[in-house]
Amino acid sequence: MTLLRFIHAADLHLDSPFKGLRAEAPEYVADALYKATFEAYDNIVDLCVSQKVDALLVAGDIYDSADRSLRAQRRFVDGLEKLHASGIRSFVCHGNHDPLDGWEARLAYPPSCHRFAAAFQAAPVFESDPGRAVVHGISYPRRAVTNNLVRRLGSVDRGPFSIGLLHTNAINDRGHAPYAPCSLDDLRRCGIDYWALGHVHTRQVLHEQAPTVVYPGNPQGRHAGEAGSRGVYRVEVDDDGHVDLQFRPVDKVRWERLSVDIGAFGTEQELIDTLHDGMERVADTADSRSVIVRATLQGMGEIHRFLRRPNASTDLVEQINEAVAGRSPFVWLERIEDRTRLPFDRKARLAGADFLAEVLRAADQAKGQPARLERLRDGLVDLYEHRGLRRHLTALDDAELAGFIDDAEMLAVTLLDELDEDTA
Amino acid sequence: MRIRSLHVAGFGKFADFRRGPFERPATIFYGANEAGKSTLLAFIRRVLLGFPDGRSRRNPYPPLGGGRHGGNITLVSDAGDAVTVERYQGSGGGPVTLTSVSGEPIAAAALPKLLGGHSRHIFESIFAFTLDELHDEALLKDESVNSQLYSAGMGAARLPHARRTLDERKRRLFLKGGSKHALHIAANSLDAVAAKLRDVRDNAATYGRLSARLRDVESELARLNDDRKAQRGRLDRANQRGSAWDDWIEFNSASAELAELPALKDFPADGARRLDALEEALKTTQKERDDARDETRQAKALAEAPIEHESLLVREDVIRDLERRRTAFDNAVADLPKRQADLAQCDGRLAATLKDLGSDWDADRLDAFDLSLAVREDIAGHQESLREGDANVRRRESNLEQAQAALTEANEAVAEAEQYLNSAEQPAFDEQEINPRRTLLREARATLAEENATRQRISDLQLQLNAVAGGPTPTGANRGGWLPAVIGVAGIAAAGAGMVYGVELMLVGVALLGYAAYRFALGKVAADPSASAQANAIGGLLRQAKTDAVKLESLLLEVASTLGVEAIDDTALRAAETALDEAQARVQEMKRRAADLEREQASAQRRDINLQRAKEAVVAACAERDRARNDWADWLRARGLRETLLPETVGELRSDVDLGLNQLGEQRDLQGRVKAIQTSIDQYVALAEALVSDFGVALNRNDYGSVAAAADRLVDLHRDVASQAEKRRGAAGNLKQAEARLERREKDREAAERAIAALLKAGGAEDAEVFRLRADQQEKRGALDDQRRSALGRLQRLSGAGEPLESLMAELKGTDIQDIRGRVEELQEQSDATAGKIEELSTERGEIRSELDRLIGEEESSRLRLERNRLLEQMDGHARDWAVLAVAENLLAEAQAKFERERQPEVLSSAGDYFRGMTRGRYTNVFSPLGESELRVTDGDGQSLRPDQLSRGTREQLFLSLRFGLIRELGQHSERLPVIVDEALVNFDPDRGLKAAHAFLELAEQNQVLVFTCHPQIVDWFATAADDRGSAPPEMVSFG
Repeated sequence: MTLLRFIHAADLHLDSPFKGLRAEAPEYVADALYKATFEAYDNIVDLCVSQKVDALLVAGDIYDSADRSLRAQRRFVDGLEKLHASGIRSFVCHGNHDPLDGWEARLAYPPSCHRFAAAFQAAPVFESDPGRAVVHGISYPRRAVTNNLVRRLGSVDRGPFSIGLLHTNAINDRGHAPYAPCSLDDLRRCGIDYWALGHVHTRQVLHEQAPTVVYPGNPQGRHAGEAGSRGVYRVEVDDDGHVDLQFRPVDKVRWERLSVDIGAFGTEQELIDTLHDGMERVADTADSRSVIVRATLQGMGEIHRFLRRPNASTDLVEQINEAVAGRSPFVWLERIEDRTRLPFDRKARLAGADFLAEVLRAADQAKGQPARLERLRDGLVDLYEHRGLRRHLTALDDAELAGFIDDAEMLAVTLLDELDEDTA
Repeated sequence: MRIRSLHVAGFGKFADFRRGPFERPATIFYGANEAGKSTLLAFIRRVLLGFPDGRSRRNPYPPLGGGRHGGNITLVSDAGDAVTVERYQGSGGGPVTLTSVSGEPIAAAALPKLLGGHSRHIFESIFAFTLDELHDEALLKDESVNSQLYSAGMGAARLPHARRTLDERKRRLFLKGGSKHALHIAANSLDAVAAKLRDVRDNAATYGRLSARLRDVESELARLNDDRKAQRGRLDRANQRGSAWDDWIEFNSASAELAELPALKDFPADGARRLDALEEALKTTQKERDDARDETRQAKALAEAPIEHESLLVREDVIRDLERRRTAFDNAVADLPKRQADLAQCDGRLAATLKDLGSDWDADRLDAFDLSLAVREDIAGHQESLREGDANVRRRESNLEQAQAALTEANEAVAEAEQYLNSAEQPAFDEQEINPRRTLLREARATLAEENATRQRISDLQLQLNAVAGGPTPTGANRGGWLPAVIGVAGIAAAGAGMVYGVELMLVGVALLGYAAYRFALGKVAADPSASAQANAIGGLLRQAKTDAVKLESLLLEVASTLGVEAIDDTALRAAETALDEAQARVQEMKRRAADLEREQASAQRRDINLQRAKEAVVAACAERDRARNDWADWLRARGLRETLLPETVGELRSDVDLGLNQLGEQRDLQGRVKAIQTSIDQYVALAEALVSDFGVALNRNDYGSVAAAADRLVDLHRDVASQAEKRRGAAGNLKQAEARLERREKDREAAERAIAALLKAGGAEDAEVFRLRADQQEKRGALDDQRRSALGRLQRLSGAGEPLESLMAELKGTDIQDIRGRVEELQEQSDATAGKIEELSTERGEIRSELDRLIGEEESSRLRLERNRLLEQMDGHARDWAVLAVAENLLAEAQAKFERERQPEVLSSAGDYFRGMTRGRYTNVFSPLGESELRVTDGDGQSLRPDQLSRGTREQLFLSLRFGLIRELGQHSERLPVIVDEALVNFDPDRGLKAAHAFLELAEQNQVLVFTCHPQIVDWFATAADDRGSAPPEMVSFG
């Protein structure tokens, strides 16, 4: 028998903009991007209704307070109203992006919605049967919560099925801020049966049963680092407290990566054809969703010369996008990252006595000598310390700078090569 | 190479001018101006490299002092060989001769080698130059010089292009202080987006403020609505009183008037109107009664009127018949002549057809002729049988002819084969003899070859024996002498040719080589004095060979006897083989011919049998054809037809009969039709004749037009009579109805009179006037009563739910209308004020809600945030692209600096040493920027300068140093040429002049130095320098 059925979602980031797009998207793509987070949320609400769940749990970061998007909050409340009309309760906690002291439009939430305060509260899932299941939740009072919130919970009553709703970095994920850090042991100790977590955008099940500890990830990927399907977990608990998890994708626009090795290509057309085929393949396997693709070209080959021409990648992107423009749902190539190299034997050239060998040695010295690396960094201060620009630019770390040396070396090799296309 | 001496035969001012030998490393030609220093330099150049042609603008230096235009120079190569080069003016640079020190001529081609293989340009620019040429930067453009000075081959040729490209790309992305680079443009766009975002973010504050205001407005609106509701209640009540006032007055007035009018009990209600209606009804009924009387009279007159020819009505059936058949009669009258003409034509066609069939054919025979399908099939069957019979006979006869021809052909072939066999020449041998004779021939050929080999062996053994025994070879050649060599050479030639012309020739060559080797070995053996033991063995072999030869010769004689020839040789064997081949061929031909005869004989027998069978088949086919013909004759006889008719003819007869039958049928149809038409006409005439006499209508029965007119007249007459009769029947009906109506109208009038009387009686009046007076009074009472009741009802309604009417009436009784109106006005003003406030606040609430909806629904911020992120990403991308370019630029710069510092060409390095020495360290380095074809010098401060930034003297020192470097470098790979300078040091200050003299003397250790000058100071510099260096002073040559 089913004791409880609910949807676990987190990190909706409603109305938060997509990141990492360099090219100006065509109108139909841009329009889809504006709406994507909302439509993913609509899909969650529809899923709740169609699955006849008892509740929707949202583990923080519903919207970004800093954006002060009225529309985000309005649409969120609209969704909760729809759930209310269908007799589905909702439980919401706030995270670092929508803390309690953040800006809020002060909209009226439906009575079936429980928003957790800055201290742990327990709210029954079924008002008519409070002993059946309880949600223990806590919201961030402010953006930066750096203490372990789980320890504030103590031990919960072992009677009803207990759910913990929390926005936390429980796995020390370096891709996310270390807010409300805790360990898996912390989570296991306090008697919670299901930890509905948020904050980490990649879905993962940290612990299968007793307790079940889950990050559903964000329901809509917003940059190339959030590729693949995105969604929520449909959670069904039987009378024995056994938890059945089913991932349900709800994303509207999907990010995908496409990697192409240029080594085998003899002509530019072969590269174009391969990219085009790759785009078609990605689109065909995206569960009928619109797809934004970031392609990475790698390997060694003569095509590198073509790619090194000014605007070559941009032109290629436009050409590919024109070729797939008729698809619906759309597939759109957002960017081509060029990590290709000329087919040249670096070791052999390094042993030579010509100027190119000297350039290669200079590159090696730059990477191997911190002082030399610093000199290189000094050469960039005109830009990176520029009064009007520095605030818009991301600071460079040593790893990035070392990567630049590799790219710069290959650029120099191409330019010095006597068959460089600029003059050929 | 050095110049040892020179002899000017005639060149410019010089004639028979000799100088030398120049033995020291450096020689100074010292002479005043116009002494001829430049002339001598030109002489050296032209003797060594050639005179300019006539078109050249260069000074030709004609021999002004006489002598032949030219001269000679004696050179000593680095190897120490002396060569005199002599050249005079002439075409192609002038003829040149080279002679050795012993006077032997040397090929002119040796001269370039003596000059180190350098071009005229290199020689004149680097080794033999004037002060003016010292500045000539064309030197730096020379390809061979260029490659020595710059970084060619170092992989840096594209460095400037690379740096330029990087710089251009960087500038496009970012340029400090610039405003058109991509980052600046993106930053501007970003600022614009940020400004818009700030505006949009203010929406949030607006939203909060408007939300608070909305709550206040809604609260105020709720309060005002409550107030207004109460005000409306009070106003409604006051208005109610105002509305009730008129009713209250009306109620009181009606009640007062009613009290003053008398009451008429049971007076008919609505009496006056009822009396008016009854009196009107009486008038109407009286008029209707009078009208009915007039109608009755008129109807009676019509119903009784008489009709002419009324008796025609009883003959209506005849009239209808005439009318119905009238059109048919006209058609019959018109159709009769046409049908009669058709019948006549048909009779003619039938008669013609019967005539075609024959005189014995008539209508009855036509009817009796059988045209059934079975008969048609019978005819077709007989036709097919007859045709098949004839065709079969023709086919069989054709087969017979073919069989006859085949038999004749076979018999001819038999006769031909028999004739050949009887007349052919018989073979020389029969078949049994051929194979034994062929075996004998093979054996004879083998025996002959063996005999030849044996004889060759005998000859060879004899030679060996002679060689071993020291005797002369059969050919008289020396031991191991020229014969094997000649054979060997021939063998090699044959083998070589074999590679071209074929393997056979190559095999011959190999055999000859082998034989030569054998002969050579034989010679070696013979030459060995200790080999005498071998002679005995060879002698034994020789004897055995001779014995074998005798045996073989005997065998061959036997074979010759058997073959019938005198001796066995190749010719005899070939003749015997030819004869044997011919005999075998003839035997084969005879056998083939005999086989042909047998085959042809068998064929003739088969064809004879076929001929007999063909004859039998012809007879059978004729019998079958005759049977078919008899059957057909029987069939014709059975039908009374002539036996000579063919089936095709009977088919045509059948068609004619079919035509006649059709015509006969048509004739019969037409005859029946004409008869029927005539009958119809006669019947119609009879119908008309039966009536015309009774009703006065004329008719001529033979005139169908008269008949038709009479019939039409009778029909019209009948129609008139019938119409009159119908009208009379209608008039009779009308009379009855008029009479009934008259009776009803009379009764209506009487009823009206009775109703008036009854009404008057009910109203208690004797006449209508009194009745009407009373009715008026009664009506007025009723109206007042209604008025009073109505006013009371309205008051009742106005009193409202829950309020007793009495309370309202009591309140109205205690007030007046002025008070009520004053109250209403006061309350209306209060209510209007409240409504105005409500409307105002409602408008504000609507506007706030609309604005809040707009703020919540706005999408611009979403777009702006996306655009902001995109621009940030774009800027980051640009920045990183720029950083890669900057790093690449840095790497190239680092590598270039190091390369220029450490890897300058040897020439520049050497030139730098000289230059540094001449300038006493004022300038430290000479270098070429990597990838560029330019020179730079570095001064003591590390500053890099181009040559054109130096003073004239310093620039000359630079170029002199550069030449020194080049001379040293070139001397390492070719002849070290003398260095000849004409006043190259005149612009040097004493200090640098002395240093330059040092450098010249240092150079003179490797290359001869000849200095032309008119300046004693320069002479002194060289003397001082030589003294400083502890070397011998330069040799002085004065002239002029």
